[in-house]
Amino acid sequence: MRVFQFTEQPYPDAWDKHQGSLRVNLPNKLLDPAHAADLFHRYYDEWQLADQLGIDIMVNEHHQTATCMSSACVITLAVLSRITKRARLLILGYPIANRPDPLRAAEELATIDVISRGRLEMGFVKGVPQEVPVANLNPVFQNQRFWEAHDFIIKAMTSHDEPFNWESENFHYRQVNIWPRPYQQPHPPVWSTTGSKLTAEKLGSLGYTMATLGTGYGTRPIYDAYRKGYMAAGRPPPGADRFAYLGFVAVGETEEEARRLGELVLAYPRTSGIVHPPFRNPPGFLSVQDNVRILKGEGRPRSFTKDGRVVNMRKGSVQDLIDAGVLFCGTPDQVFDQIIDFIGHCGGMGNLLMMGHAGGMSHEDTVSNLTLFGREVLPRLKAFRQPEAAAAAE
Amino acid sequence: MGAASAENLQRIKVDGVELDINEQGSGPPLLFLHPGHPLGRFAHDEPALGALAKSFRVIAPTHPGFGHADAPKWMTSVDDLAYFYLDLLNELDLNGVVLVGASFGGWIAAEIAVKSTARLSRLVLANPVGIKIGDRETRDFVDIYSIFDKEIAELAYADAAAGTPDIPNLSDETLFHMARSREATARYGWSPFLHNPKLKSRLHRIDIPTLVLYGEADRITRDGYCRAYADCIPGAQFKPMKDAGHFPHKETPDAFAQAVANFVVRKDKELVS
Amino acid sequence: MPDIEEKYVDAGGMRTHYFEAGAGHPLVLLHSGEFGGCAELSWEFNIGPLGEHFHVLAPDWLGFGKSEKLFSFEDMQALRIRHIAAFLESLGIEKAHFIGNSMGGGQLARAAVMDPPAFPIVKMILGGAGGFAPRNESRETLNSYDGTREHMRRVVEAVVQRADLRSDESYIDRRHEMSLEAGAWECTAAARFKMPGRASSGRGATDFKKIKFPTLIIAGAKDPLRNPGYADELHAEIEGSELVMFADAGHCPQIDMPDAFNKTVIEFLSR
Repeated sequence: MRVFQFTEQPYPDAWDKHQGSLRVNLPNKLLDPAHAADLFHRYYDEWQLADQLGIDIMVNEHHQTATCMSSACVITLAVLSRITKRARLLILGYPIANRPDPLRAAEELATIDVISRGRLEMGFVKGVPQEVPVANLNPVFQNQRFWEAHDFIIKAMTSHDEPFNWESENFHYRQVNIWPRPYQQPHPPVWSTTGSKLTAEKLGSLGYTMATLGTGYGTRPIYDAYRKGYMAAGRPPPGADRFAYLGFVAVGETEEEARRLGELVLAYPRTSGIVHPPFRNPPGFLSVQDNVRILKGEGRPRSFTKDGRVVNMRKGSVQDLIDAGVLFCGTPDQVFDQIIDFIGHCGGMGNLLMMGHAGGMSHEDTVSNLTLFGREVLPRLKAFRQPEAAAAAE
Repeated sequence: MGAASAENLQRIKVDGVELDINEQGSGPPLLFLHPGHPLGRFAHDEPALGALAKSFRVIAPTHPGFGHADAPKWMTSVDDLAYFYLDLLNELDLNGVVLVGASFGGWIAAEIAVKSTARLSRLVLANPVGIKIGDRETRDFVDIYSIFDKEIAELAYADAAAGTPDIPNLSDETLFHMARSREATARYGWSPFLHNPKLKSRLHRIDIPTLVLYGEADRITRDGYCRAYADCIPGAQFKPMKDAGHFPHKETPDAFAQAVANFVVRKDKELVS
Repeated sequence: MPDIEEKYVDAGGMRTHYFEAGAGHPLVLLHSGEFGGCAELSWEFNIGPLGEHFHVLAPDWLGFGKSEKLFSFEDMQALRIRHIAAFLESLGIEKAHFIGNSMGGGQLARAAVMDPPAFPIVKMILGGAGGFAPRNESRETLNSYDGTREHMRRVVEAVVQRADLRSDESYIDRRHEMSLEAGAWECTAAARFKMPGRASSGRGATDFKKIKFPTLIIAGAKDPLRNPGYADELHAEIEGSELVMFADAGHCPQIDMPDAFNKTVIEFLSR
């Protein structure tokens, strides 16, 4: 099993200054570049600690937001390639549907893979709705652009003879021949994220590592859809290493201490949705049927606890989110048990993407969280034997 | 008021592309090209169409992607729509067509006219979009995808209350069209936003009498935009309309129809240079 | 472009020279009445293009071009009208659109208000017609033509605004030659020939308000032979009429801006 430490690299000092929106249109004068510099270096230090503790690393990318300063993921990856020694470097994800130049993406990722000596885990994502007004590429064709860019990047990374030509609907190149080419062969492992069973099935058919984010005890059907797609391609049931899950993690010496950290880390779900509402639903992102439902005011699916109770991610308490399988919080033993129980629900989950820092959690708290997790929980997880690879829920 | 019933509505095929069309009235043929988002209410029983039908044979298609007929995969620009509607005129063998377009439909109409006026006799644009007048940092149009629907209504209508869609009381069919219109307008006009950078330099090609109607309360387009648009078309007349915003055909349907009819029969003197 | 045929017919006993082109709905073009005026010089830029859409007939008036040089001192306007009516009958034309330029338009309007109308009009177009010529240099030039080429140049300058034609010597030659046809000068000058002491024998001005046919008025904004605004008055008098001003045209918009003229005419008649 692998565990990846993740933070969004936020700028929390601006969070109390929003007037209904932390993303896209919160003026950047609210960021003090000197303080931002301090935060960046602090986050890099904490990832370096993760590396030393045997934890792997996850980085993400968002734009124009106080919730995440990582507007160009390749920068963090480049820094980490140099200052870490062993950790896998997961980007989840590179928003390839939002970038007009997938050749650049291929070059960046190949270079990171080389500098890190083959530690890149390459996650491609479509991008969340609030990225659309920033990139300004047509959201109606988001999905099409995603797969086109994906196809191109894979080809660019796996073509080693003379330059190739590429004239697809959205991207035109006449001489593609990237230098350097990736370290890992045939290319770094590909990941993607989803909350949809349809996409899960497609990712399964491709054999990519699939991550779901905070889907809690509603995760199983999505994993099963993946399994269906994976095996339809003629393979035996997928191992746990194909599956990833992003949950919030807060470990304390005492339950009380853990819950204090839990409150801090929950700053993420409590703020990440604070977006100017018109930016939440770009045209073409949801189906027309879904849009009609939204016009009528019909709600979207929520998180569920093990016994089927609905939990609001944004407003739920620490206990609510533990019950929902979204937050793993407590003493090391408690956290270990919660994670194992969750893995059982999933029928196997080999990559825990732990958000071990969020919001205004201090450096000291983050170090404490990581250290305790690294020393007391991680070894047990690494020794844990995943359930038999299964076709679907028993 | 002409109410279009389902009988007026038919599904036809133009070069293999499915198209829903509403036809009513008799007289010279008039092709009406409807607006897109931020309309909020799209209907084949537009009072304006009924009013126009008193003087014209009104042909009102639903642009592919805006209603029940999907846009084919390759149809992704207003340019595509313009050629498609020229194909439609060929298919129906129409001549002397009065081409009327509102807002996004006005953009399509202008693109059609710069390509060929062979089957057209007149062009009417009502609060059209489609060209860029402002400099690179100036918005010619409000970013309708970045503001609340309530704000859109205030900017688009002289009477915002009347223009705000009464969602709880709208049929599923109307809601369907609203959602489709929001998406389809983005399909064709996301970026460059609601315009073709080339169109302005082509407007001189329009060689038929043209009328630009302008609902004066329009705050979706920048002040002076529609006037500047008219100035780009040789000999175009510019007629402000009172008590109307971005959709004069919706807010003042009778005055709109009258303005079109008067223009076609040259009630007022016309100057040709 | 359809073939343009040049023909003669006996219309009510009067030799009539005319041009014919195209097929479809008949369209009769009635030329203006300056010295040397005729169907060819009035309509040479229009017969072909209009012939693509209509059955075009462009006769020379009595006393002009190559038609018979007859003049009636009783009522020449009525004779002209009877002649054209006979012309149409001789060709079996039962209904037609009509375009009249200057005098041709004046005659057309007079025929239109007769009870019953003397021509089988469906739609009518008045080009540089109606109103009156103010007493100015241009009018004086037209009235005092002395048969010299130099004077014809000044006639052309009064009647045509197009720069390329005004300075085209071969064009002036053609007009000059047409004005020298036997009897042509006399017929045109005869309109002003009257017994000393007697008042003008005009049968009264045409009451344009009585025109009931769909009418298009085309007027040049640079016409020295009319008062500015005359076309607006005409537009107001003829109910339901349409008015198009041609910015760069003078008294003969069909000569000065032929493309715009043809297009406007075709559109109006096709509706």
